Amino acid sequence: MYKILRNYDIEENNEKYKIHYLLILLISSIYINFLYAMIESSVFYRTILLTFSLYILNFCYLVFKYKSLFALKFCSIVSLLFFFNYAEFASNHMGLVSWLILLTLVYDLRKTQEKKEVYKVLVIAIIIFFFFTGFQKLIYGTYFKSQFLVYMINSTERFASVFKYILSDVEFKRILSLNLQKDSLSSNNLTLLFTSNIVILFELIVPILMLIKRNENVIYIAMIFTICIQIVAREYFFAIIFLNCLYFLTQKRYDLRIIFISNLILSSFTIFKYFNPEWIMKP
Amino acid sequence: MDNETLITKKRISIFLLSIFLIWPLIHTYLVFKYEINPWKFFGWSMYISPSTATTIKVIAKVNNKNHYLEPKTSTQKALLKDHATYSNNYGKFYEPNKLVEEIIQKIDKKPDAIKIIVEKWIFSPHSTSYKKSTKEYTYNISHKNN
Repeated sequence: MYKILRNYDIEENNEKYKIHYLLILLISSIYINFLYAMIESSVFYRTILLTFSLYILNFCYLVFKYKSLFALKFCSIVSLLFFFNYAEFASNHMGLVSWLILLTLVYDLRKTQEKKEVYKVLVIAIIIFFFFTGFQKLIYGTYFKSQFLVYMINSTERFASVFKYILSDVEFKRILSLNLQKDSLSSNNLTLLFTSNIVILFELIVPILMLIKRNENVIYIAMIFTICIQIVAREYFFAIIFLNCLYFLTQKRYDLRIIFISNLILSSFTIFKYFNPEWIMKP
Repeated sequence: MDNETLITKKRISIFLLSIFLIWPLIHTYLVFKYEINPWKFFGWSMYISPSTATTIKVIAKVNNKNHYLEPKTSTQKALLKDHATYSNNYGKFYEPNKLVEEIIQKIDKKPDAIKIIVEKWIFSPHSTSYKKSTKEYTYNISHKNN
């Protein structure tokens, strides 16, 4: 696999690939995500975690400012220990985040040769993650008859609000009237079947293409497709982190502005939720 | 020396990547076989499988009669909710021993036995509908004074 990835070799002294920037985003996203999840639990946790998260966030930026790799690694280890303690509640995107941090910890980011290696390792991890999102859909079998999509349209407002414009009135009303605990959720509607299965196909083919040949256009298509899916799914945390990971694979400059904007978006959703828990719909 | 260190680091990262590669398969096996929560434990399944839901019912058996113990206070409700969450996440690995211990400590009149009924709603892709999986645990209680 390493040999296949020679397409992802980075040139000597290439400053485009700021791996520590991605690391800063990943660390801060853990705390923002925790804060988001804990907001509903209790007032005590809300206050403690808001303070703690903001301190960590500031710490991450200070680390960047003084380029202290030791501090960044220390912060990574503390975050992972904190995070693995809650593994029971860890979902997909947080799995990706913790694994990427763990992989980065193995290498010394100051050395060019090791920086090249860690870049390849991150590329493999991101491609594996991308491929498995499709592969798991294949083995779970909840997409072939649109079962999962029907479930989501029936049970979540955000899916229903989009599909009411796509489906016929009759089909849309039929789906909404289904009893989730009694009725079969399969559908023969061609739009639903196409939407469900195109997602699987895309998530299987694109990572393989990315692995075979480094093609910027494939990565951009993947980013656009991810954004299109998120218009319906609205999984903000996953979307922001995954889009950052994909952008990281391109040859464009990955810099602090992107991290800042990403963190700003993640934090703003969390802060809105803190002050108005009903603002963002629950899945 | 530097080269050797780099090779060791490569091996460590390959090992970590292998776990990263294998875990989704193990996780899927655990979901199908032991009914763990497909959304949790670093699972990939949040947008693949509908959420599972678990409820726990507690029945006290006194003189061969069953009495449903309904949680009344907020503490009792929270206790059952916590255990329902654990059960939902851990699936068949969950054992309600701690729940029974806490109930016995707080109950005024000791029953002959406590029955815990764990009901879990799991989505079955083959039948394209939810199915209910029920598991019962019975704990006989001795009335010896310690």
